[in-house]
Amino acid sequence: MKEKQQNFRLYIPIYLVVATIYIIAGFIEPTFLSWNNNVNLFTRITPLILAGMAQTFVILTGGIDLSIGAIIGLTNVVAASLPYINTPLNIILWLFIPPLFGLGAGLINGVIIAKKGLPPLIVTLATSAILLGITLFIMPIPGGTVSLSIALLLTGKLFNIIPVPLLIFSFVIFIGHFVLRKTEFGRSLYALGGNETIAYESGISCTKVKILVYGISGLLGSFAGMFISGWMFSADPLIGEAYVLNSIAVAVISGTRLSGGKGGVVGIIGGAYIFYLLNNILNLLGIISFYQYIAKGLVLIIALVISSPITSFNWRNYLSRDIQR
Amino acid sequence: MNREIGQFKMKDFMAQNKLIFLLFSLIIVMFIFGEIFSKGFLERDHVYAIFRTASFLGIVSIGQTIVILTGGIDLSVGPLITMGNVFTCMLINGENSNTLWGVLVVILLGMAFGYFSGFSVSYLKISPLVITLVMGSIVTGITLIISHGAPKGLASPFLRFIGVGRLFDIFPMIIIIWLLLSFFTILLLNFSVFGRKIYYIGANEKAALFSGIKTNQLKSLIYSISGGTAVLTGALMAGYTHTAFLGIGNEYILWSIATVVIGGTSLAGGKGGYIGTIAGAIIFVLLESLLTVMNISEAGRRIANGAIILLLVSIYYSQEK
Amino acid sequence: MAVATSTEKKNISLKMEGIVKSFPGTLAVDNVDFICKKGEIHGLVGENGAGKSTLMKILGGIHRQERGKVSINDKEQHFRNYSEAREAGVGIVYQELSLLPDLSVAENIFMGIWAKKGKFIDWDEIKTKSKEILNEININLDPEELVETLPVALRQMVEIAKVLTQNPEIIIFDEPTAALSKDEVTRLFRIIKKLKETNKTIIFISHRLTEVLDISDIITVMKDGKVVVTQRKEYFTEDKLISAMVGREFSKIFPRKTNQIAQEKLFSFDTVLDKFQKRVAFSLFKGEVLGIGGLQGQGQIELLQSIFGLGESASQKIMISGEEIRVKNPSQAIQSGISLIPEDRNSEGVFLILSILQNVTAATIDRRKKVGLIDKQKEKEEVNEITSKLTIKMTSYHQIAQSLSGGNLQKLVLAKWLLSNPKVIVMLEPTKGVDVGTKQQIYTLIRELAKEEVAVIVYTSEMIELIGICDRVLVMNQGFLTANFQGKDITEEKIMKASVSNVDILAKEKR
Repeated sequence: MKEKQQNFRLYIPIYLVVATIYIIAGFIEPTFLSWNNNVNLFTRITPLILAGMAQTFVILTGGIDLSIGAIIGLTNVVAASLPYINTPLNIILWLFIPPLFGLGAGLINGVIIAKKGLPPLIVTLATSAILLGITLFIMPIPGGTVSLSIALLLTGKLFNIIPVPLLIFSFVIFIGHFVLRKTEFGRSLYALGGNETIAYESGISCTKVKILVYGISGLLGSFAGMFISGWMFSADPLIGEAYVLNSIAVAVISGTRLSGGKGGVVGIIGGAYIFYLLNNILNLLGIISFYQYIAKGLVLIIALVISSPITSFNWRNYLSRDIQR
Repeated sequence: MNREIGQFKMKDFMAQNKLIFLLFSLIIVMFIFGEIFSKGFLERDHVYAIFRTASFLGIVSIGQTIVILTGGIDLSVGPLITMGNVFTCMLINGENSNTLWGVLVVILLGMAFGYFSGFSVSYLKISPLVITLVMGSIVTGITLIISHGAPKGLASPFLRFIGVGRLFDIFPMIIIIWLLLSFFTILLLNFSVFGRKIYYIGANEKAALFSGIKTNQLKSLIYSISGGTAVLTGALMAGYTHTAFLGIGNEYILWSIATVVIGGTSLAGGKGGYIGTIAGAIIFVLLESLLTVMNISEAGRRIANGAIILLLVSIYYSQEK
Repeated sequence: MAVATSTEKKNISLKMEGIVKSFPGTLAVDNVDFICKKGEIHGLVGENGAGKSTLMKILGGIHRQERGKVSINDKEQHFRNYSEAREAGVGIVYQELSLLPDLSVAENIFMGIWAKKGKFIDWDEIKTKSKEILNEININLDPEELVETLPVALRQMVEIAKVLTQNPEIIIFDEPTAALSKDEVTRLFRIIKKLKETNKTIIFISHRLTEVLDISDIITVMKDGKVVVTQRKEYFTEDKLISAMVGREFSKIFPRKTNQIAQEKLFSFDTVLDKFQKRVAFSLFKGEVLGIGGLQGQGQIELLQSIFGLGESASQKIMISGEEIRVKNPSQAIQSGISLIPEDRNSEGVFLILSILQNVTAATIDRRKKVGLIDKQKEKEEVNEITSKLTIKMTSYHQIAQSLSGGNLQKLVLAKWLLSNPKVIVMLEPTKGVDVGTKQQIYTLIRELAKEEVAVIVYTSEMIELIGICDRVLVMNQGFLTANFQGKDITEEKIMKASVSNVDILAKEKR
C-alpha cells in the first residue's frame, strides 16, 4: 500500500461519519442545519481542535501530555488577568504573554522528559498539579475579563461572512499538516514514535525533538486558553480539566496511534466535529448534559476498539516474520 | 555442592529493603519537624487525624499498587471513589440495616467497572491510560445521572462509627480497617501464588505468558480489584463525611499514583510492593498537614504535591540507572 | 593460528589489531587481528558465541574495545556510537533490519538525511534519488510503498539502499541470507559483487558455509573469541571450515547419537498452520531427538509454538504416549507436560528484573501451594537442587537474573522447565548467544532427556548443530514438510536442497 493510500484510508472514514451524523441530525432536528447553529459549532470546536493537535503531535512521538488541560486553564486565566481596556498595548500583551506561559510550561515538560528520561505520564501528571496550583493562585475563582475588541474579533466574522473561528482552526490545521509533512521536525516525530533507537541512529536529535514537541503542545494549549478567554469573555481556572481526555479522544478518533509513529492532523477537524455533534444533538433533543460523559466515553471506546491491534488486519503476520530492532 | 544459599542475613535484608527503612525514617523526621514548627502536632488526636486521612488514601492505593505492579495504571479511581461515596449514601439512606448490603452492592459495581477496564487492557490490548480515563468519564456520567447532580442520602450510624468512631473509644476504627486490609494485601503480594504472578506479569508479560500464566485473566481481575478498593474507599468516606459529595474523589487520581511512586514501586511494573505504598500514603498526608500548618494556601499545596512527585521520581529513576 | 595476508599496505582499508572485549562472565573477543582490503569480500564464520558479532559491533561503534586498535585507511578510529562509525565509512546491514514499517521506502532510505529545498523537505527529490539508488542495485521498487507491506527479502534491499546513501567504504552483511530463497540469494550476491567492483570492502557473516565459500575472496574463522585461521577461500573446503569452527573432530563435540530408536511413538502432532494453510504432521519415537530445519520464516517457529498452545492453528491434534491432548493455551500445555524453550529468552523466557529463585519457579508456581500461599521451603529446596544440577553460577538465588551471562540465563530457562517434569520439550534456538562450555552442557542434557524418554524437538538455524544433535530432521518450506532425513542422510547439502523443494511429503501419503 502506498503512503497516500494509507492517508486516505484514515481520513475518509472520519469525514464520512461526520457527514452521516449531520444528515441524521438534520432529520431529527432541522434547526441543526441552520447557519447559526453551525457558526456556533465552529466556535465550540476551535479550542478542542487546538488541544487535539497538541496532543497528536505529542502522541506521535510515543508520549502523552496530561498537562494540556492545566496549561489551557493557566493561559486562560492569565489572558483574562491582563489589563483589558481597549488599547493596542493591551491587545499586544494579550497576544504575547499567555503564549509565553504555555510555551514555557511545555518546554519544562519537554526538558524533564527528554533530559531526565522520566515517563511522560507521570511527568505531565505532576506538572499539571503544579500548573493548576499556579492557576489557582492567580485566580482562585472564575473571573477576569478581556478587552472587548478581542472578544468580538474571535467570535466575529471576517468581512461579515467568514466566521473567524473557522479561519483560525483551518489555518492551524493547515500549518500543522505542513509541518508534519514537509519539515524535518515533523518527520522526526514519526521516526521517534516508530522506534527511538532507529531514529537516534539515523542522526535525529531525539532530545531536541522531544523538548520542542512538548513546547509546541504547550503553545497550542495557550492558543486554546486564549481563545476561550475571548469567547467566554472571562476565565475559569478549571476550564481545562475536560480537555485532557477530550484531546486524547480526538487524537485517537482522528487515526493517531497511541503508541506513536502513525497518524496525522487532517482528521482532527472531523474528530472534533464528531465529539461536539453528539453533544449538540443531545442538547437539541433536550437530554441533560450528564449523558455527554457517557456518549463521549462510548464513542472513544468504539474508536479504540476499531483501531486496536486485535481487530485490524495484521499485515506483518501475513507476510514473512518481521524482526524490528 | 556445599552452599549456604538463601540463609537469612540481616545485612542483605537491610540492603534489599533500604528504601523502606529510609521512608519510615522520613516519616519520623517529618513528625518531629511538624512538632517543632507547630506545638501540638504530635498530640494524639492530631496524629490520629493524619492516620485517618492516610487510611483512605492507603485503601484506594491498594488497587493502584497492584495495577502499577503489572505495568499498568488506573486513572478511574477518582470517579469510582465519588461513585462509591454517592451510591453508598443513596442506598443506605441512614438505615443501619442497609449498611452491609449497600456497601457490598457498591463494591460489586466498582469491581464490574474495573473488570471492564481490565478486559479492555488484556483482551483488546487498549492502553490502560486511555481506557481508565474513559471509564472514569463514563462513571462520572453515571454518577451524575443517577444522583441528578444533587446527591441525596445519608450514611448509617454504623458506617459513621467506622468512619469517625473509635474502637473501645480508644483507637480509630478506620485505621484498624486499613491495618486489616494492609495485612491481607501484604500477605497476598509477598506470600501468595496470585501475588507472585502479579510480579511475573509486571516484570515481563510475554515471558509470564510463555511460562503458562494466564495473563489476560489475571490482569482483568487486577483492574477489577482496583475498582473495588476505590469504591470501598468512597463508601468508607461516607462514614466520615456523613453525606455524599460530588467530586470527592477527584484528587485521588494523582494522590494514589503519587503514593505508589513514592513508595518505590516502579511504573514499569515488576518491582515494589504495598509496604512502600503504606509509607507513601503517610508521607503524603503528613506533607499536606505540614503545608497546612505552615499556612500555605491550597494553590501552594498543589504546587508542592507536583514538585515532590517530580523530585522523587527523578531520584528513583537515576538510582535505577 | 595461521595468518596469510598480502603485504600491500596501500590496499588495506580496515585494520583491527589486538582487539580484546569481555562481558561479565565471558571473554568475547580475545586478542583478535582482523584485516580487510579494498575491493575484497571477507567472509567471517564461527559458531554462536565465537565472537564475530561482538567484533563487528566494535567496528560499528556499538561496543568499545578494552584493548586494541581500529584503523580505517590507516587512520586510527575511536567510535563512540554508530553515527561516528558511519561517518568514518562503516555501514552495517543487520539481520534485524533498522527500518520503520509505517513509513515509505523512500523515507526509510533517506531517514535522517532528507533532501531539502530550502528549509523544507523535497519529497520529489527524495523519491527520485531513492529510485536511482534502488536501480543501482537492480531493484525495481516503488519508493512510495510502505515498508510494512514488503516481504523480508525486499526489505533487506531497502536496508542496503539505506546503507548506501551514506557512501560507506566498508559494508558489513550480518547473516543476510537466513530468510532468503535461492533466487533471492542469487540476487543479493549479484549486488554484493557489484559493490565489490566499486572497490568497497565487504565483510560477509553467515552460517551457510557453502555460500561463504561461494562469495568470499578470503575467509576468517573465529572460535572462542579468537581467530583460528585466515586464508584465501581456495584453501578451504566445507569440512575444513567446520573443523576450524568447532576446533576438533565433529564427532567429538556432540554426544553420541542413539542407535536404538524404538518403534514406540512418544509424541505425534497433526495440524494446519493458519498462516500457510498447509497440513503438517509428524511423530516422534522413543529415544530420538527430532530436529526441524529449513530457511528462516517457513513456519517452523509457528509450528512449534502451537504445540505449546501459542497457536496459530485452528485445528490441531496432539498425542502423547497414545493419549490425545487438548492444548488451547500455554497453561494447558504445561499441565499436559509440554514445555517450550523460547527463541528470544530476554523477551520471552526470563524475567530480567526478578531473582533467580523467582525465575526458576515461574512455570511450576501452582504446584507448590498451600491454601493459595507459596510453600517457600519446598521452593528453596527445588531451586537449590536444579541449579546445582545445571551448575548455574550464582552467589545466591536472590541474585537478580540480569547479572547472569547468556549461557547461565539459558540454563535458568532450562531449569525452569525441567522443574515441571515435562514429557515433551520443544526448544527454539537452544544455544543462541551461549558460550561453548554451556553449549556442550546443553547438548549433553538434550541427549540425556531423550534417553529418559522425554520427547525432544529442536529448531535451530545453525546447520552444524542441527546435524550434530538430531537423530532425525524434518525440513519445512512454505509451511509444509519437504523432507524427513534420518541417520546418514542428515547432511547440509540434502537439507539445503530440501529447504527450497516444493514437494510436500505429506501430499504423497494418504491420511
